[in-house]
Amino acid sequence: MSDNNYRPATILVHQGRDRDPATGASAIPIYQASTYHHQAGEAGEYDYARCGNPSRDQVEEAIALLEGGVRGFAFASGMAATGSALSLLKSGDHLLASNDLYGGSWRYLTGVLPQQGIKVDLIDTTDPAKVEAAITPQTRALFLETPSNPLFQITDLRAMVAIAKQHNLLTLLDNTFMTPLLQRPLDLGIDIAIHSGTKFLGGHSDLLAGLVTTADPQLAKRIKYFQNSFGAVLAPFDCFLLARGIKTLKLRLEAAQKNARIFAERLLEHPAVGQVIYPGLKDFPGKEEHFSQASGPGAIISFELKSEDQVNALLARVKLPIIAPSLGGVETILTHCWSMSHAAIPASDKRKMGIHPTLLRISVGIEDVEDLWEDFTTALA
Amino acid sequence: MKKSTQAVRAGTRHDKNMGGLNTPLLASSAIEYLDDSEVRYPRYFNTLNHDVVAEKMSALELAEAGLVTSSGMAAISGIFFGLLTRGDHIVFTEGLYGGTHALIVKELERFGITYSFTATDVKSIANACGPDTRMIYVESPSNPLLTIVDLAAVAAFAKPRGILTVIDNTFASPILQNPLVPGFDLVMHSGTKYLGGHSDLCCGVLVTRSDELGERFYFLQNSTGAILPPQDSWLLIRSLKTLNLRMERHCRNALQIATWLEDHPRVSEVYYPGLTSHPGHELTKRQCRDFGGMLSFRVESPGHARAVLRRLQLISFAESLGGVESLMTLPAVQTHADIPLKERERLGICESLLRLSVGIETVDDIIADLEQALG
Repeated sequence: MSDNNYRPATILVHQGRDRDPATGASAIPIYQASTYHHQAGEAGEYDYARCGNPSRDQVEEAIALLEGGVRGFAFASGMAATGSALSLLKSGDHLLASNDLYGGSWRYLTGVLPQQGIKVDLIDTTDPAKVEAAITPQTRALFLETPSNPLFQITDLRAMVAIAKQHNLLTLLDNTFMTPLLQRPLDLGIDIAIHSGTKFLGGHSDLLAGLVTTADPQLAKRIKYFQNSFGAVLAPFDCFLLARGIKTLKLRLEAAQKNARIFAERLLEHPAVGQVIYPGLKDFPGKEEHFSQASGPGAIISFELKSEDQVNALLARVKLPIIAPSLGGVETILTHCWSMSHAAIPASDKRKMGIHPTLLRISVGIEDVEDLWEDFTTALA
Repeated sequence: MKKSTQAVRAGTRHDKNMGGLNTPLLASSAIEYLDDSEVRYPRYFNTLNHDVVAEKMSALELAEAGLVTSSGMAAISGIFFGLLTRGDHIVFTEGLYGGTHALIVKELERFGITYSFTATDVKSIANACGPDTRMIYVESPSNPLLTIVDLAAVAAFAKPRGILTVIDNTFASPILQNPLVPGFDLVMHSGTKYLGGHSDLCCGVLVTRSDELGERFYFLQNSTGAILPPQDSWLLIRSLKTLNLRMERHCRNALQIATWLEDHPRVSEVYYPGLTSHPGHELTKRQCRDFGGMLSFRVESPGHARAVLRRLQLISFAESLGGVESLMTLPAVQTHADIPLKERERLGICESLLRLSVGIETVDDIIADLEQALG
């Protein structure tokens, strides 16, 4: 591929490199090698697989192209990506983060970072004034999710970037829910975009991966250093699968989002369903902010059933969705946030956050929406 | 279940031990014999990943039985050598894939099997059949000129005469065309193309509604051993999950590109069933859900064709088709090189004819590349 101005669907298919320079092969080979020959004792472009290899370069270039970063970094999981990016902080630093976070991030921020001498405060980032008020002389960074998981609270990224500039803070955003097709945080001034590549980017629920990218060459250099030093890198075979998944991202996401819009509208009308939280709905509270920084509502919906008995009945009887934590696969995934995605968070904290045992999250897949709805209503009957 | 649901879900064996939502990749050449099970062995095509891929393909093709082979040619040779015997006669439509053509002209005679090539209309096909004709083998849409065969009419002619009908359904994929429905006996695919879809695996598929044919193939597969390994079966299953979405986009992009090419001053002819000017347009509407992602077009001269290929930037100049990325082929020197020059010229497969496998990229980017390459 010789032109960086291609449109997203083209970049997804061709990525940074679309043919093997050595053989012309239509797919980049899986470089299943741990080390690389040093010709006449001199290291070439690659020397040791952890430091870099052509299979990993493919996905790292892909995420940088898609997000508008200078380079990308691939990790063994979304949490490895988050942890490695947060290594930019040091002992004595203070971190502010959204209080409605993915459970794994919550555990890392409240369990691991304090051990490293980093103070963390979870705050309501949907209100810039509260963020401003929480800043101390030690505050170094903002860690954000928008829409948040699972309650779809919307944080105004431009406002966060403005505050960060004023106080010289680093901004990190977990962009997993939106993918770079719907939300491009680096364009808005966010320093670091993080993805759980396990979700929409991989898309087939068959690999774990994390991705990080930044538009700042200095930050990229430091992340590269942490990636190489910690070594939580993505293996060549999973790089191949991830790159392969990315090729169909636009088709999958568009189909899933189209299904989700229909599913959310129908949930609203269903007698067993209480609240439905989805940015594509007419009265979604953060609608204006969300669509000022994202181009679509995504394919994930949270909703409350009216009783826990109904939750149990649904989970026992529904046939098509996989009942599991995770999201973003071709198959519809139904999550009981209380016991699955957010199990790491103590019950009292969950209640405080607004995550109740009646809350369900559905990651709508690419199946036919009529099949999904039929299954869902039969299970709830 | 509707097609898009089938593509994702049909055949999946959830991992009962661990609850994993995908069927595990079972790479074992020896499988413990359990009291209630059949003897399982990879060459018997009955291990976990084989079962899943066969079931998913059968669901998509509305078939009863399916088999996956190590390449499209393995499936085709399985059809010839598994179902025919000395003295049998086959009728082939013209404009077959070059590899199929080569197998026919180089090998069939040696086994005492005779054959005729005929035009693609039912009358010609019927006229080519004789008392020994045992099989009619067609490609529709054909390669590379996208000729359309009336499948229901061919099946209606063949059935009362006890002639087997076989189709290479590679170009249409099971999303667009299910030939078993109008009465074809056997459907084959080069799964390397749309089914695999990412230009990273090589396989063939056979499906049928006939128990007898299914068993015959199973026996042959077991005997000749052209099986697909579990790793590639697993990857093919992954591919099939997005087949419906990919085909929709291939079709949408191809129609737009064909329409654009039709108006281009340096393009003399465009072959795409979605164009109303295409002679098989109405027939395609009747027997297919959409018009597909393959098109061919004729440029000014062989030199112009070479120049176009040299100037391509986004589109790869490569043999194959059906991948997410757009590929262009010069059939006369690549896919159809095995067909003798005189025959090729008679068919219209000259060195000014280019074949385009339209990918799922943004259509404007593909058109921009064509525009600069056409000059």
